Amino acid sequence: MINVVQVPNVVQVLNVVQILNAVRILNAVHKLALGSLHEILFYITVIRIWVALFLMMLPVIAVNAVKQTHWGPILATPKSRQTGDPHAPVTIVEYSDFQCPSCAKMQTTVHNLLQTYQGKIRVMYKYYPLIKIHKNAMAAAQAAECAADQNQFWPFEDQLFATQDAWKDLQNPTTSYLAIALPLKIDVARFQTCLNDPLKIPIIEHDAAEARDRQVTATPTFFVGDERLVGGVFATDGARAIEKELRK
Amino acid sequence: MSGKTREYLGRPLKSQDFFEREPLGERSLSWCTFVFRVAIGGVLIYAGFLKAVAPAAEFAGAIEAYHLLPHAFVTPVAYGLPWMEMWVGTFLVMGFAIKLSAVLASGLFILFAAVIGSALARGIDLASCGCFGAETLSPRHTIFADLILIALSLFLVFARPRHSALSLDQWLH
Repeated sequence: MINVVQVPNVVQVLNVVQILNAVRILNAVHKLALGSLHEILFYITVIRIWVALFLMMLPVIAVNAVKQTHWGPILATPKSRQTGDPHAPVTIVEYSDFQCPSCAKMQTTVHNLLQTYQGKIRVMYKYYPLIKIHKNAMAAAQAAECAADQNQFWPFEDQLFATQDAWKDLQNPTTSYLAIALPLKIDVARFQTCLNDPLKIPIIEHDAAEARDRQVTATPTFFVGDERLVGGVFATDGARAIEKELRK
Repeated sequence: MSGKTREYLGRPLKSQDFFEREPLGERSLSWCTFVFRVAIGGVLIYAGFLKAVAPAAEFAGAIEAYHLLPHAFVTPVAYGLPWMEMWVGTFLVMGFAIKLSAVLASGLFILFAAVIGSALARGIDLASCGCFGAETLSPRHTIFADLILIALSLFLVFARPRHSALSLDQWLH
């Protein structure tokens, strides 16, 4: 048997070369296309990350432009509205509303802290009646200021909070305030005249303006030194804040 | 062949228009999602901004009033949540990562409604929900608003328009 090897002619060889070249070119184009696709996807991802970071920066810039970093000063409070040791190293300022349920609950904490840190803390009371939501808050503050005139602010304040549910919805709560004043060392006739004294309103509004200057938006708000404690946080963090101030 | 040319907005309609022009329904959906995006995003930005510019202790006090979070988490949440609201809101208004932002927004609104609902169910007397910083909005009104916003956010999640009008997503596509 004779093996006949057919020698391909020139055309056949060229055809094979052309096919091989075509395959190589197709492969190269395919690789290039894939590479470009990956590159495009990569650049899109990078652009999206930059856009996300830019968008996240917008609120940061806006907030920093508006945010108040310094608050107004705490102004003097009459001695009648201060309790505890007048020379105590730690001062607690309370912005409170007599009709606010959280303020009433927080009185136990205030009394406990005054007991625990006897001689180390003094508490100043500031009026901040939230008149938009508490219709009798202003009248209660005025009654408390009348009690303060007769140095009976603290016992009157305790009773106001204790009987809050009884007077908060009344059309005219004056009778309730008189009932609170009767057992205390208060001259009721003077107290009654004082309840209608329009000069008491600016005193209360002065405290409320101070609260707004200090960006107080809720009651009760306490300042233990520089630290602000709002609502129930005072019950959990009050002692820690006092200790921190005492260590200074 | 009748020889009559079909028209759209006074212009002869070519066969390629059937492929290139968005159907009217799709365009309406696109603008509808734009309105919803701005509404939801606007509420989130407003709520977050009011809380972020106020001292964090104010919002911490509002969170504490719900008696839900362990004390250790109250301050970090008071610092972080307003930023989360503002970022999700900004993404929605600008139309960036719309679907993810809408999922996060609906999650936030569901969380807010659940938290306020649980406070009401437990008889906690909330003067204000703390949702808009110093602004007082009653808890019941807030739940109602939350339910509407949940519906709008879920619409954005499930409507799947091909693109949303005036959005960065459309521009980056």
